[in-house]
Amino acid sequence: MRSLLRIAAALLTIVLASVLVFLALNVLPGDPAAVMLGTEARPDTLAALRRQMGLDQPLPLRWWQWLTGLARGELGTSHTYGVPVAELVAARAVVSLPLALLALLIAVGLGIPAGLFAATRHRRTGDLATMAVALVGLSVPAFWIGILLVLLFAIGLRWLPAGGFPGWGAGIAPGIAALILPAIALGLPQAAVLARVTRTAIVEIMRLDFVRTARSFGLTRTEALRRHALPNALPPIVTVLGLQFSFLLAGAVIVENVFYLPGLGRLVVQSVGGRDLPTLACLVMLLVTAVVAVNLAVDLLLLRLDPRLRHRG
Amino acid sequence: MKLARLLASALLVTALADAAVAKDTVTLGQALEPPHLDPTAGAAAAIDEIVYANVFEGLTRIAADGSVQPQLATSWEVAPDELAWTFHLKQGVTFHDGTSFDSADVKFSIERALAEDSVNAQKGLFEPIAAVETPDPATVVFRLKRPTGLLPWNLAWGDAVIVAPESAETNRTRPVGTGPFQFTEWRQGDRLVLSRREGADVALAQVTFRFIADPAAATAALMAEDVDGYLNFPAPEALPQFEADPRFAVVIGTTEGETLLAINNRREPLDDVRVRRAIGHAIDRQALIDGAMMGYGQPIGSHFSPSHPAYLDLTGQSAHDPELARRLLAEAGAGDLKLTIKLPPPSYARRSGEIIQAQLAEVGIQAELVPVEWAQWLEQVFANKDYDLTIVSHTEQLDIGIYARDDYYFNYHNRKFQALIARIEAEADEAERNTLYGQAQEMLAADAVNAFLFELPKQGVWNARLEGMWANAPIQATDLTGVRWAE
Repeated sequence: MRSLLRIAAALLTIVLASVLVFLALNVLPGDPAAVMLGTEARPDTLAALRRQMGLDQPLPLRWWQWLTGLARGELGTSHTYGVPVAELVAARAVVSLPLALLALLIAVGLGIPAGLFAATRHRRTGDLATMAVALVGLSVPAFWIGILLVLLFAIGLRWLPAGGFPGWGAGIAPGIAALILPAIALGLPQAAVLARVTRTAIVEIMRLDFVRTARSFGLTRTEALRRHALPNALPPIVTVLGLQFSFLLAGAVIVENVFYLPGLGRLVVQSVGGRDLPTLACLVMLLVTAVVAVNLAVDLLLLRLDPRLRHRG
Repeated sequence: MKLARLLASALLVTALADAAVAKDTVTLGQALEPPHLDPTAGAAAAIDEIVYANVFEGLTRIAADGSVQPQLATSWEVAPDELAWTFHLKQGVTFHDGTSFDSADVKFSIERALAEDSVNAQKGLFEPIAAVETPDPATVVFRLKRPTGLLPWNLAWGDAVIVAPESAETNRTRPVGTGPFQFTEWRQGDRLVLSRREGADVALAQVTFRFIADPAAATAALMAEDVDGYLNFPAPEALPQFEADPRFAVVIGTTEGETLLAINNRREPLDDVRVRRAIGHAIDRQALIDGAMMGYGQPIGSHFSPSHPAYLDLTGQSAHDPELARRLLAEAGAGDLKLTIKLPPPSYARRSGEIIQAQLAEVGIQAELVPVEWAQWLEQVFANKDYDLTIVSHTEQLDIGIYARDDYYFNYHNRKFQALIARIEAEADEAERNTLYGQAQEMLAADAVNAFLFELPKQGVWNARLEGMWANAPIQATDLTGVRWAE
């Protein structure tokens, strides 16, 4: 029942967002036709292009057409590129999605073990050292890590390309090779966040009575941590993971620029600059849907992880 | 373990790809990606930078030295009354899709550009044409409304290339022209590939453009040799690094980009020529070029490219003289002046803005910097003329005629200047035309219409073994027809 409610709320959020997105984008100052035609354009040419783009029609009519189009699964045609928006966005998503997943994998693979390690050595050298490294990871911007990685692995050692994406058509291996450096650049700061969250959650729980009881039954510190503290520390970790995934999907634009990856973030910036409204609307809707879906997944997962949530009124 | 193996094979593939690079392919970096590929339906320079001379050809073309050369037309002559031009066309030419090129395609292309629903960004180029006649497949006659000596030059623009009725509608995504390279692949956001057409007389078999705008990324891509060069490199601060590296050739050339501190000539007190002159005298162009452009770029004193034979050096008329500037402002009763400078996104504008703000402050003008996006600039400054000052580079070749437009955003309305431009457009004799261009430059400098800053430099960086790249940019194009690898 609670799950169904959550799903319904998520769907409602998406519908409301669609209305807001369209209105917000269409009152944005700036004329897409003017951007296309530049500084030599004559007024009659501008008017002709506006007609061609359908921008001469009244706003409510355009909104209705967009909405009915969405319902039919038609996302429209990009003003800038003149190709179907769905095609354009799909081509970017196959870069951004694996990149976000890879970065998340790196973040989880490094962050959670580091957090556990620090927690088991609470207030000892190992803890302080790990947290010092995490603080550096948090403070250093991802793009700068990216530039350093390029200097070392692409320019110095020539192991990996400096950037770009060859497309999955060129094979899995070149695709992964192109995504490794950006995924590290994106993943490291997130790993630092995860390490701190994990450490704090574990340390707090290790102080609670039930852990002390477990230890008094003869469990070693490590056993108590693995069997009792970790499962109970998962909810905050999962919540943070959900937030990180949403961020990685859309917020990778700076790292995308450093590695000139054709990802969703750059497309967002580009379509804002060119006032490519159909593409922008589709992208924003996609990101809204992704964030809502990830949040929903986290909520549902938390319901499973934490029995208390299921029984609370 | 699996990941390690995957990584190893990835490295192997990259290594093999490197070894397999033959000497007839080239990968060029380009800062901006074109929105689409139809040069007759958009103003973006990035379109021409890919397709001009490579994919599409016009009746005439602009060569590396800036001169007008025959392309699809072999020769042309003008009737004694100067109202009819006859162009003789090359024969046996076909478009990439196999359809043949003849006078009907020329008629179609020009009439399409002139049509009521035309979206040609340079519609004005064709405006003098009254009718296009096709007496036979190899001959085209243009009937003009008035003598237009610049016609062969107008027809050399990217906006005037010849397209076929069969493919015109799809040129935006799948360009079909008559040039030696044909469109192969475009992965939006990443790269665009052209390949040599069968039988074409060019050295390169394949050309890949990669779209990398970020200065750090562009530098890394060159250093890692992921790209072979940039015709125009987006990060002047990195040039010394390439100059020191024997793998690269750094070639600083000229463009047609007059960079201006444009002035709203209608707005008080900027409608007073003394105030506009004061702004000109307040600016130290060399300090500006050194500070904002790493020392690259040529000072200009009017709206004209120093690489053109008709260029006059008028920088002396607005030489740096803060004392004179203050006096002029006092005379005009415009002491304690507060103005805004709207700055579009390019780095030349943003960097120049900060320096000019400081220079204006020295003569008592308080300037507020307002950064805007292109879309905002086009709406606020260009369309609505809602601005005091703005910094922008006008990159079209030989575009002094914009000052003759009543509706242009400078708000410069000078009947004498308009008459002069009309005479220039009609004049068929080049020497006479150049004299008139000189007068036009002088008129703009005397009226201090704008503060003329510098000619945008073309900062080329490419592999030292790459030959035939254009040093200068008399037109925004990447002509690859003469590019080859040295043995």
